[in-house]
Amino acid sequence: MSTKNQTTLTTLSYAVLIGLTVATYQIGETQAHSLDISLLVFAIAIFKGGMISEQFMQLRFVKGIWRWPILIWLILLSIVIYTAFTP
Amino acid sequence: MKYTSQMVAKPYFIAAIGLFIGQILFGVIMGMQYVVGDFLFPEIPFNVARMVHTNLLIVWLLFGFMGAAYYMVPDEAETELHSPFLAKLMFWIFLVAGALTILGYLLVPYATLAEITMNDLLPTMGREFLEQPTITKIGIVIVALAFLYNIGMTILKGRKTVINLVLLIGLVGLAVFFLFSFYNPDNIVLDKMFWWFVVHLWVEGVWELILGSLLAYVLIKTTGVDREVIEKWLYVIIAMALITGLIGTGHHFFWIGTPGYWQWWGSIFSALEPIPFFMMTIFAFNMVNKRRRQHPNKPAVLWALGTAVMAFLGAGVWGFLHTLSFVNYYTHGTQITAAHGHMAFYGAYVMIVLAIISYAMPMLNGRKAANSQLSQIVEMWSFWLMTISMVFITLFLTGAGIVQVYLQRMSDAPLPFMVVQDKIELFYWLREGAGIIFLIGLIVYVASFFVGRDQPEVELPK
Amino acid sequence: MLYATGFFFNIGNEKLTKVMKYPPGDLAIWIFIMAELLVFGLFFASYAVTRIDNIELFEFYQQSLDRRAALWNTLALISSSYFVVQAVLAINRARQQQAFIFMLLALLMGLVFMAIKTQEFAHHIDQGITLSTNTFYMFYLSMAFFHYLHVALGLIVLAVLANNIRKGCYSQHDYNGLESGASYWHMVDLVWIILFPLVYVM
Repeated sequence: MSTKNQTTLTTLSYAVLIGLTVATYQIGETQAHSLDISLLVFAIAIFKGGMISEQFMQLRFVKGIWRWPILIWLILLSIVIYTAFTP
Repeated sequence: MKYTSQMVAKPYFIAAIGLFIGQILFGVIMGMQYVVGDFLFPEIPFNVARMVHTNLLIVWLLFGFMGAAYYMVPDEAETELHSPFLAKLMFWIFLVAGALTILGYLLVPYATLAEITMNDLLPTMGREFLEQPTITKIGIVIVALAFLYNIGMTILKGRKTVINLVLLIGLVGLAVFFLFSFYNPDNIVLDKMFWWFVVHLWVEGVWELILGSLLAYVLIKTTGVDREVIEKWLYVIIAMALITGLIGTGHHFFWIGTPGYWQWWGSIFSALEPIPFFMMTIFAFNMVNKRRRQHPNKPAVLWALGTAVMAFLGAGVWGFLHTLSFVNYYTHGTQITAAHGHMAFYGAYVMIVLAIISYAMPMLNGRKAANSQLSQIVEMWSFWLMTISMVFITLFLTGAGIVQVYLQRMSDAPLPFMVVQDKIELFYWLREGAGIIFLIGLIVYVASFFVGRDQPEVELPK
Repeated sequence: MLYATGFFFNIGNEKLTKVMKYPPGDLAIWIFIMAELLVFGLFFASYAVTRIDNIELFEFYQQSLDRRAALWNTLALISSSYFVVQAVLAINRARQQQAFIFMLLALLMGLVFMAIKTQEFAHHIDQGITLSTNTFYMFYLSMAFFHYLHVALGLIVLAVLANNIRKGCYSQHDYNGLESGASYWHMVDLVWIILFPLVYVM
């Protein structure tokens, strides 16, 4: 991928990350949120994490075993958090 | 052997082995006392045998580390040792001080020893592993400072390799943390906390740097793998050791009266302490697999690989088994602890010292690179005898520990300590049996230095 | 969600080419990154599991945290990471001056985080809150402070990287050290991205 496209994609990712962050904050401000909203908030966080690892850390250009550890970490965390937060 | 001053390592290694023999003799005595309570009483009461056993362990390992440094550092720095005379002088001071201390433990009541060594001027006696009279401790500090000065000056004037620097940091850390043995707060909680600044920060801290650098050195020498590869591994390993081990000290702060957050900090960080040992195992086997040449000194490679594996098992796995606070709540201070302690010390520190002795001694004895075929075979036999018997000692103590924890702490009707000790007697007999075999292994090890002396050394075709 | 992801990661007509065998930067730093993620992951998991038996306590004291400050902190760190990526891309295009400016911006954003976080901690200290106040605060302070230390280290790393760029240490063809430092910083950002919603919002 050309560096120019990389730059564009990075900036777009940044915009999305900012947007999702503000959204998360706003949800937090509503005070009365249900379990589903909480899990949605965490799912958003995991998605953001994936963007950091794939785009910012450039791991999506890595072929082979080194691409996956962070993504697996995100998935494992999701499982633990989901299980812990769900009664 | 490129530098004649490396020869000063030899007396250190010989003293180390001699004291090792003493340590094991007293270990076997104690093993017997577990099952025949008044064995050698009152001449050698259990608590005295224990002091001798544990103190000898530490002192012989220190002799081993110092000998290793005197051998390795001139070679790595590519220059002669700064002062061979100082090294020899310190050897005798350390040996005599150590011998007198052990004799003190054996010949006079401990309270008398405290009196005649003027402990009340600066009280430091009475704590586990730190039973030495204050004057002995001061002697150790002097010896350590002279040693660090000697090694430091050598490194300063020569090549500063990563191995040298990591070793030096580890040794400086060893000396610095020993100073905490002089700090004896009245508050029992603080007293116990700072005691661990010596013990934990030694064996789960700076000693791991020493272990890493010694292992890296032996591997570079025996495999011929690129120095840069080995150095990078070494950095990562010690970084892991420090990241996990420093706050991991908290796994000793669960029950001594410190705040509750230590249960979390100690559990989380110490749970990761096996990582550097796991990496050392991968590192060692990787290097040997990738080796550029076959080294004629086979026992040295065997000890090096064995160290990584046994350290991982004993320190890493057995340590992990009882490091989480909710497990430790039940297993604290039981035979589980003893099982871990024995395999961890043997795997991590005994074996690496034996590895470096195995590598260096042939050359200190005038060989080019290795001993004779017969000597190597005998040494490798001793490796297996000691290592396998240690595994069994650990397994038997683990068995004893599991029964002990269950009967004494977990069952619906917990039984008193001595009642439970009676019930696990069989494990202690088995342990003693394994201990005797360990002693035999040690005798075979010593024999390996004497057999095949006149035979030609093993040389591999180029 | 999956469609959006797919769209996102395959933007434009260019095919994604997986070209690297190893991640950018020194492999050693990636081992370090994994280890750090492991520690933080254990903290997060412990937090979540402990919360199960303490839901009221956690939800109550969660309200006492400054969510607005945390928002600014998150925005600052993400921006900082963004600038770091831009710096790396600039070096790749041999735009040394641009890279230097981006790195300074990254450093600035990092300092913003430190300033806000320091103020937050000062406020807690003023209120007499310590690790022993309650279980929620024990976790919050432990994780936030541990992260804070990593931000501090990261700022030193960024400063060194900025200085190196200024000295011309990195070329279009060799910027391994830059990528190593950048990867570490992204890890610090990644941890906070999880910490913020988990502790301040959920």
